[in-house]
Amino acid sequence: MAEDVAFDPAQPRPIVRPARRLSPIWIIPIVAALLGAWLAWQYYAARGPAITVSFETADGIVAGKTPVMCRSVTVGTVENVGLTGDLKGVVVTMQMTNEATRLLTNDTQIWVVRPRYGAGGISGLSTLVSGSYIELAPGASQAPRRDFVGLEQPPVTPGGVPGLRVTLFTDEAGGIAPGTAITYKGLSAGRIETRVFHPDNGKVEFGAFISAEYAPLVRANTKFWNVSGLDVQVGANGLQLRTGTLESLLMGGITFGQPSGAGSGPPAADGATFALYGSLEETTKFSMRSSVPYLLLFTGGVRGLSDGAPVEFRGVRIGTVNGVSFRYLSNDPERRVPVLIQVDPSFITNLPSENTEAAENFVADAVRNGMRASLKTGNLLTGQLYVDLDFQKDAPPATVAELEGYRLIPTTSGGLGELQDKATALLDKLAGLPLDETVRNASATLESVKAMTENLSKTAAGFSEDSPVYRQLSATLRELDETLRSVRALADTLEQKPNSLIFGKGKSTPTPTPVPGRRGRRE
Amino acid sequence: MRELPNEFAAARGLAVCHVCGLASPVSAGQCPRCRAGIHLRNRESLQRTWAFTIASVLLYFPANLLPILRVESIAGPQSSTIISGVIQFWHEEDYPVAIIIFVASVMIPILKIIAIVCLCLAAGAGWRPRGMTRLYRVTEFVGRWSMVDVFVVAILVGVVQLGSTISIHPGAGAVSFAAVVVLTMFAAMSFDPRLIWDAAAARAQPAHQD
Repeated sequence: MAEDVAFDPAQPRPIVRPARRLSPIWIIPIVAALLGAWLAWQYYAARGPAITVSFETADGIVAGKTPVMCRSVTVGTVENVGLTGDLKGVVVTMQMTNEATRLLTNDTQIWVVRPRYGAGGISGLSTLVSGSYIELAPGASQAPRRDFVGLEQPPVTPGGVPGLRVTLFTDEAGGIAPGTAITYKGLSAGRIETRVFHPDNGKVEFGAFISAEYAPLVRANTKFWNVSGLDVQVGANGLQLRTGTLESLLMGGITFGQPSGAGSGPPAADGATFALYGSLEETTKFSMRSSVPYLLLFTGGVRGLSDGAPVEFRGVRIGTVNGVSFRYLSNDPERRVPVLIQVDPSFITNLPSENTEAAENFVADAVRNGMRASLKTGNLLTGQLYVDLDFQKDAPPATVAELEGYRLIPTTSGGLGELQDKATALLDKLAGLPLDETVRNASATLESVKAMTENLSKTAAGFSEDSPVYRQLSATLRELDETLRSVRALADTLEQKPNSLIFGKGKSTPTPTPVPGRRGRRE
Repeated sequence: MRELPNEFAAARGLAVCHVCGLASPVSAGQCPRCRAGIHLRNRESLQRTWAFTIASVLLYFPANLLPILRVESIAGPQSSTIISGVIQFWHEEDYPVAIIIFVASVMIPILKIIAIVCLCLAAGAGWRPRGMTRLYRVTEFVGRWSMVDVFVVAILVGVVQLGSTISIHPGAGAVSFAAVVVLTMFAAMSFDPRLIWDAAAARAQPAHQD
């Protein structure tokens, strides 16, 4: 049957129907297009902004591989590493994820995490295996930013940690570097974050971070001082050795506290500035800020008065001699010696040291009541002078005068000072005399005199009445006396009768003897 | 054959069942043996082929641009596309591997798509039927070998899962690439080679009659 059909030319030819209508198969390319579009959208939607960060070196950064992390969450990848235009650094281009957009603000900190050994200990050990990565610490700002300057060292304290940031300045860095611990009563209270040298005023400025726990302890009148290393003191109590923690011994340390006796001032504000003293002792000796200058004019010489000498009020230190020079007052006809002193308000009042008015009033009142400045010898041996402020009984009324921009504290004529000078000179002369030699000679002379006296007394003892010598002698003398008497008689006889020597003694020859024994005794 | 177009089975109203191969009259509508629908030519062959081809072209871009593999190891995550893998092997002087990957994963899909487009155009215009037939056979044969990449990814993902030390995850590119390969295979399957000869015959017939 099929053959009939097949070979029957009468059968109509099959209708070849070209498929004109749209086949449902076109759904497949549409789905593919949607899928592709979705994949592309997903890929680009996950891409956040691209940022550029400049570093000194690209050590350990690999383009296309090094991740950018924030709290160990990947927020981007390094796309490109190139040199900067001036060839002095590298520019790292990073493709951030979309969710990282909020992290890229004005104060975001970016640094490379590498294995490091620093003040804060060993860090970044995991990067030995995984390779370096770039860490990003978000800031508090809201202003978006795309160009960053990377930190060469990781920040000591991560951004966003609550606490107090203050500035410390000092003359000498003294081994204090970013990472140095700040302790309070031996407990770690913060760290030094930055160290900047200011060439214009020669000060070293440190940025310090005090954690929130200890921030209330920092007051406006708090003093910071260095506790680095060893503190050896030889004094009347013997040898004293003081050290901080082992860490501060190795890496230096800073501590802070209230000056003894002073109450707690108002809490320090964020960004407040403090002086950093070299030691605890220095905090009571020097003040580095907002002192009040006064000029003293001395008529006498000021030899022995040096910069840094103390200024004392009735024996209590209130300031420091800042300079002794004629340039402060070069046109004084009397050629008095100008001495500039700095009175530190913090030694006088408990107010914040910015407030100098109280100190000025204090000095003005004292001058009205007869306070005068004079030079006194602080040390008899070295002759070092200090400035003493004290009330004089018969002082004429005076006030704090102004002269060429300086406030003057009246001085006394220096009578006591001169007296002391004279006393010192006298002592100097006394010290210059050859006293030792004189005393040595005198004692030698006395020795010999003593020896002679002893000899004399021994000799005298030999001639006492009881001694046999004395008896013999007196017997001898008696005999001698008798002998002499007979000799006189002979002489008289010979005088009267010279011939008697030949003819013998005649009769009736008188023998007058006026002082018979005297000659003999004189013998 | 070209000289005797009337001797085509189609000229007699006969068509072969696509399922069981029985030749039966087209007018019957379905195969008398297996009841499958019978058509003279594959239904909507060209439309389907075009649709699959266009879909595969669309997916070819994400397949090559998106990462096909993401390796997470101690040294950090690293994702690679097909081309970056080829470049990496080439830099490591594994030239044979680089060439194999490049040929199997980049060249073959492209050449296949081009070949199918050529076939579709030839079916419309009736170009060189003999060459086009050979092209069709090659295209159909080579299709499955494009899946090498997908197999590699599948095996790696299954085998290399060592926790934090190293682990491998498929990327969006792998899915796209598999879709490209499957779609090109569908396109090759839905193409009816007889269209080439139809077109050639249609082109030859007017010349013969003249």
